[in-house]
Amino acid sequence: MSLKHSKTIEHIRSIFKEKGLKHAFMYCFLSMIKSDKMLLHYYPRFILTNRQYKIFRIARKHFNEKYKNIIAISSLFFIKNLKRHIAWLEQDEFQMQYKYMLPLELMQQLEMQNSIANINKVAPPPPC
Amino acid sequence: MDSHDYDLSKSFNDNHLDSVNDLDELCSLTCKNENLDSKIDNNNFTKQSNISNHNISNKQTYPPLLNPKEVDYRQINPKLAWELNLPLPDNYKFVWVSNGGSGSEATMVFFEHCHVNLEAYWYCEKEKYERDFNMLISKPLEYNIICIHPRLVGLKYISLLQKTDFLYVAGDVISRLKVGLNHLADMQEQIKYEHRNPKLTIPITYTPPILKYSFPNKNGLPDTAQLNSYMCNIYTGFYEFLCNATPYIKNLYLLNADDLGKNNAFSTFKKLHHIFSFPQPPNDKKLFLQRVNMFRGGLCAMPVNLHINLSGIKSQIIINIMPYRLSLSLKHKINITQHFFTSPIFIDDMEILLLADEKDFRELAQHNDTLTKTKQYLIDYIAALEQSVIKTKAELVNEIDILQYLKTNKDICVELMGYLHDEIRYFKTYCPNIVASWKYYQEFEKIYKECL
Repeated sequence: MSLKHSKTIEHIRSIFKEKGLKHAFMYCFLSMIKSDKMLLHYYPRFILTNRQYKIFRIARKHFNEKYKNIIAISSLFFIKNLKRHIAWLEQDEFQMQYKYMLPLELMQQLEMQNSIANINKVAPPPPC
Repeated sequence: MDSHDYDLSKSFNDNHLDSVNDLDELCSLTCKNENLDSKIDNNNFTKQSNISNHNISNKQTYPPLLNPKEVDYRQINPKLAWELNLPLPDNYKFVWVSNGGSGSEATMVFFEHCHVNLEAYWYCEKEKYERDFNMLISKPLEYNIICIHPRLVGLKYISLLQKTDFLYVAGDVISRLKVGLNHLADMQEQIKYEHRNPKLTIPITYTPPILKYSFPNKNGLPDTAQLNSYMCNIYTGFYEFLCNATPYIKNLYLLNADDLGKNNAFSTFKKLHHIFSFPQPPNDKKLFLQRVNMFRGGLCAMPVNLHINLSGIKSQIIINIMPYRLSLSLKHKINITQHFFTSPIFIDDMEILLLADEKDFRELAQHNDTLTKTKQYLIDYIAALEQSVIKTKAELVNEIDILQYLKTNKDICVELMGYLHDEIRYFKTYCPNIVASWKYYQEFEKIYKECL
């Protein structure tokens, strides 16, 4: 089936005809935001740092169903709290209490970061 | 309250704590003693302290996705809280574990009397979590408890509890199964408006609602032949629950279901008040002396409002017919039973009261003709109600029926023992008095041994 005959395109076209460009654009934008594919694959890449994104990708393997359920209940909540969630995963308190259930890959990632942080404390970079 | 009320001296001697004179002191001593891990038996009221020697490994299976200390619980949707694995808000005093079938209806009513808030236990774990979450958030300054069914909540729900005291009412397992077999289905559709709001008609046109049972036979009645794996499973399972919940239990209090019988319920709740400090001590002994469960015959439609039209008055006069326990919430109405009946009305060990507004009743008293009709109606109504209860009671299965059925059905007998094996071993080890008091279980054990 060609894109021209897609039901979604037809629906967007009907919104455009009935309510104008603004409503058609908003419909597309909200549909994208609500889709877990958009929020789980593209959104984190934009708002997280490289280091956080690496953690998120590993955490996603473990919590994927949870993330999808949260997005289904409130995509806005996911958008607002993703950074807080990653920050919590990185906290010592979380790692002390829950490290046994975390995937080894994520633990290694977190431990590596901690060791880098420790090395930096012991041997700061030489002054320029 | 004096310690001699509890007759604890025997327990003290058993535990070599002769110098202790007060229950609180005893509790504090047992709590301080890390190695105690023993029982204190006080007329079948058993407490186990510091049973938690395990590490909290369950908790690690469901880590919170946000830091619970940084989350504003008032702003969060309970559905999201469940997905985020957030622990329940901690403003609850203890956890009451109920299988159903062990005085649970009565216990809920008695807790309500003591101003204790709870959400019923018969919801699956996700809905239960959401209900508990809402209750705890909406009543931050009140006395809340968590009430759970050992089979309906899973590891996830348990892991979202804080470490606290637990209370379990251990009833004879055969009696629990009896309650299951006699359990009514949802009665919302069966109880019509007319059942709850009869009108004064002579002769009486009252017919009680038709009861629907949860596990009926082809005639729609309870039957021991409906005893199946599901029922054996749902009315057992305390031991498995205990294994999962152990890291979350500070003290485990075990009650025998007999402690909630009409002769013991009041004193049992006084003891519970002493331990858990309810907002209101149990003070209405009459409430504790009566049967609570109304699921028999026409009683299940209570409270009933009899509508009476008086000539010359636009609005109707209403006489409320209800058991004593429901009347406690209608303090502005007066009890008019003695105007129609020479002695108190008792149906199924429950006192039935007739209540009305004082002004309305004075109005009714001035219309002699209607008053006489009302009296005749009420006499006929109560007689019909009593008959409906007698008929229902005759339909129900009892413990003897269940034992007879188990005798002839080896498979279900063996299956039931499979569910019970660990639970019984636990109770025999820590509170043998409770198992010894389960006379129907003792019979079942004999039947099981004969089966092998």
